[in-house]
Amino acid sequence: MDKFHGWTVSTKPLHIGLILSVILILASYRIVTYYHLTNVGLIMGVFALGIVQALLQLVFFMHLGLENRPYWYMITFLFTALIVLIVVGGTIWIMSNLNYHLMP
Amino acid sequence: MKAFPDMYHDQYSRTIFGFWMYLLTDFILFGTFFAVYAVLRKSVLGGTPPDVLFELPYTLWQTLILLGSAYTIGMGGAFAHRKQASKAMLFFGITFLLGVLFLGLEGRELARFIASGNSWQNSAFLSSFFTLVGTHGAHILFGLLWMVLILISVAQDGITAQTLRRLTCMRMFWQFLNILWVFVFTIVYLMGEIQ
Amino acid sequence: MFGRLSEQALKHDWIEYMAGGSMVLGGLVAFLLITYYRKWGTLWKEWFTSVDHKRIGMMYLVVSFVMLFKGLVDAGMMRGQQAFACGESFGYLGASHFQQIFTAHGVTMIFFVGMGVMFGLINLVLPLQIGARDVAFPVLNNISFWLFTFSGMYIFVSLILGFFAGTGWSCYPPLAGLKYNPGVGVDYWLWTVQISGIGSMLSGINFLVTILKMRCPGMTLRRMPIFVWAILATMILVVFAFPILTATIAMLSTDRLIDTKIFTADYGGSPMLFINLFWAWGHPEVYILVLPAFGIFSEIVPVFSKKRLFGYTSMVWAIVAITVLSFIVWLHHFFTMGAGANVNAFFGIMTMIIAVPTGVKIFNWLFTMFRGKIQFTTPMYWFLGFVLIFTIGGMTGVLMSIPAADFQIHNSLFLVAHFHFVIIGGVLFGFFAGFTYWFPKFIGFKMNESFGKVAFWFWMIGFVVAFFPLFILGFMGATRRMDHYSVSAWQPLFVVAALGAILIFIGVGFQVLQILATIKERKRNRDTTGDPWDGRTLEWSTSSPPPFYNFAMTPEVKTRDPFWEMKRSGVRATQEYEEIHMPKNSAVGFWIGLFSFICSFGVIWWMWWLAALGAVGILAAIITRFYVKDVDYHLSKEEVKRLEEKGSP
Repeated sequence: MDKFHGWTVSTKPLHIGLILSVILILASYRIVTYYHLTNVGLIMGVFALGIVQALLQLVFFMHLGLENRPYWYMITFLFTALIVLIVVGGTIWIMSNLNYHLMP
Repeated sequence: MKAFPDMYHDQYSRTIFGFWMYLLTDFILFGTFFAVYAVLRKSVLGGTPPDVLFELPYTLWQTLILLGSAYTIGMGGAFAHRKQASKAMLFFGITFLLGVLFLGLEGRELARFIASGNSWQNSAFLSSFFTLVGTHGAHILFGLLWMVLILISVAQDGITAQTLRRLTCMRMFWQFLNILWVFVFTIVYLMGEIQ
Repeated sequence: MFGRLSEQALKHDWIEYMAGGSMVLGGLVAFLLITYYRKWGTLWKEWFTSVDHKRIGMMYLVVSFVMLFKGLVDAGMMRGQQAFACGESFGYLGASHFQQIFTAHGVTMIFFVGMGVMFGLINLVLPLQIGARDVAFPVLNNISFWLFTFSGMYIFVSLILGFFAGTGWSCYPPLAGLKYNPGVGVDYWLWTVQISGIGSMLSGINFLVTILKMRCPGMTLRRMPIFVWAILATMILVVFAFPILTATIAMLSTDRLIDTKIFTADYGGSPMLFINLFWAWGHPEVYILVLPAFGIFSEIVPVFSKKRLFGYTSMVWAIVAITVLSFIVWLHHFFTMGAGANVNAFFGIMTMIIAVPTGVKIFNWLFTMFRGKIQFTTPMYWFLGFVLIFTIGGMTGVLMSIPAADFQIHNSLFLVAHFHFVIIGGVLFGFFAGFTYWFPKFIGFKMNESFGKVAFWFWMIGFVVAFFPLFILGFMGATRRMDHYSVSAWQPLFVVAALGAILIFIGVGFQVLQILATIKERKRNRDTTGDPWDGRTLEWSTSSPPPFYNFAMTPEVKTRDPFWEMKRSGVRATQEYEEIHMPKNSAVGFWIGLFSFICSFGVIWWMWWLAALGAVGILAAIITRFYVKDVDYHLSKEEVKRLEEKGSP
């Protein structure tokens, strides 16, 4: 039974994913409520925790990364992530430049 | 030229991949809403700012409930693949209840905002918030409706090729919504606390 | 009960009455003819509910041709107005009517002609070229078609009830917002684009999965025809760009419906955000329109040069480069909005770079022709016309990619000329070439060549006469979307442009004659072999038209240009037939389309009970389909044998 199929019927990845996600959620919650952030580093840290959790869930819950060739799921996912980064990042860059140049 | 298997022989693989592509389009859709939120979140216009408006402990509970439901639906999917229909239905059923709870909590929160003069009509910040969170909630609602339909068909037919495809798509959809919520929680609620 | 629908909605000027009236008349005539010849049953069972990609493709083309006619009428009206409306004269169209015309012209041509003809051809050809029996999700294919068709109805409905948007096809807020345009016009625009956009996105997923998962054995990615590569790239663009449009339009809708403040000029909203997001979709959209045309030419040029395509690998890389780059150029649509030098410079440079892969493709086609045995058939004429026209259009695009230059000519007629050169030269000429090329395959006989060539010359010369003056006018300071102007020096050029439009209409007339002559000569031009052009790809290995199941036996492929190879090496089909598993027709697409129309109509006119009815209808259609068990059937070996030997339907 190949790795992908194994993970489809197995419940262990789900247990691992759940525990790790709970830890990450509580950690980021704690950081924000306890430290009342203004520190950019902490902000980045919280954001990074979110990304890590999303990736964890993609692997442990949705089995991303376990397929055989051709890696269509991974390729399409990476492309999507790229487009989201371009559109969101590009929008923020463009709009903040507009805001700066067109401020009264 | 030789004869080869018919176009139905790998219907599972095609359907699941097609559904994955749909989820990716949803990812871009939400990405656009996040972009709008990122741009408009400062336009509070003297209204209640996010760190006062949001109740983080409440949202934490919502988050954990949705996470739990992503776990239970994963369990349901695993049992479906093992062809254990009743266990699968049990876990999908628990997921449904957790989903209803999540939606109820969210509805209560949004109603509270509206009642306190913080509806989408009051500022661009609130509009972008309601759009993002509202679209997520609408997806959850459709997911719940879909879950009912699927559970009925599983109750009637058990785990067949068709119901297995549908259960798998349902699971992917639900877990995807949970991943989106991770971003909503992080970017909207947690970062809302930051001033 | 009737929301904001009142007799006021029926009030129009005499031109709109004529247009609406002739449309109703035309529809009535069609309805009566179908009833008289008792064809409703056939239409419903064999066409409207069909999940056969070939039938769906033809239906797309029929709808697109009707839309093309409407779009050309709009164009003619605008040319007529601008030829006269100088100085003292104000022409025959009022300003608000003119605004609706250029808006409808854009929406019709881009969404319903550009997308429609390409999706039609893709539907027809793609499964055959990869050796498949149908697309990945045949019922979804049908749903997409009906979403496309019903959403297009608003262009016509607006001639009778209410009015269409007057904002331009890009519908910018705050003009398109609730405050400045509270009427139904913008709402028509929103729902037309939204519903057809969803149809397109579903087709995108469908064709993408088809290409990645349903290629016949032996057809690796690197053995796919370039047409298929082009469609793969196009569908990637569709899948990843359309959600941006869906989200953006949804937000404009909520701004208008429930008073959100996202793109408003007050309450902290940002109309510039709309422009940014719209074009983040809008730029990939223009590549969605043109890439299939590039794919079509990659099929046609080798066949009519009797030489394999030059530079297959570089063609693929060019397509991939265009796909990726098209996501990072979108700001060139609004250099003048004020994002500053750094931002403008980045996007300007990216725009210049994206011209390179396109240039590679053009050279590859020309190199294919070099030392080939050229047959100057009508498709080749369209290709050669494309090379000239599209190249001029492309070069003017690179000119505008320099922000400093663009500041002078943004939104001038220079821009209008640029995009017409690339869209008509690229998309439309590509479609005409592909239509002529594949016509024998799907209809069974070749098109008339003489009328085709005459039509081409009228189009070619007419187009240059109609649009070249616009480059000059743009440099002279003429902006787009003008219903009137005072600079008398411009008028001669507008008159020339109007004459060009007349030449184009004559060209269209010859195309109609071409179709009539084609039908008249069908027995003489019948394609009995399935391979009228000595083709290279798998669709030519089937009969003309192909059997509904496409291939009795799935082909196995060993090289590029597999059919060419099969002919050279003398591969013969074995006689071992197998059972064929086919999907059944379904009405769910029609119902979803119809109820989407009803629901959106209710929302537009504030008839909430109707909107609810429509929404319930959509849900009911989906739920009913969910529980349908009888979705497919089998053709036994004997039946397949019988169909194959009789020389199929």
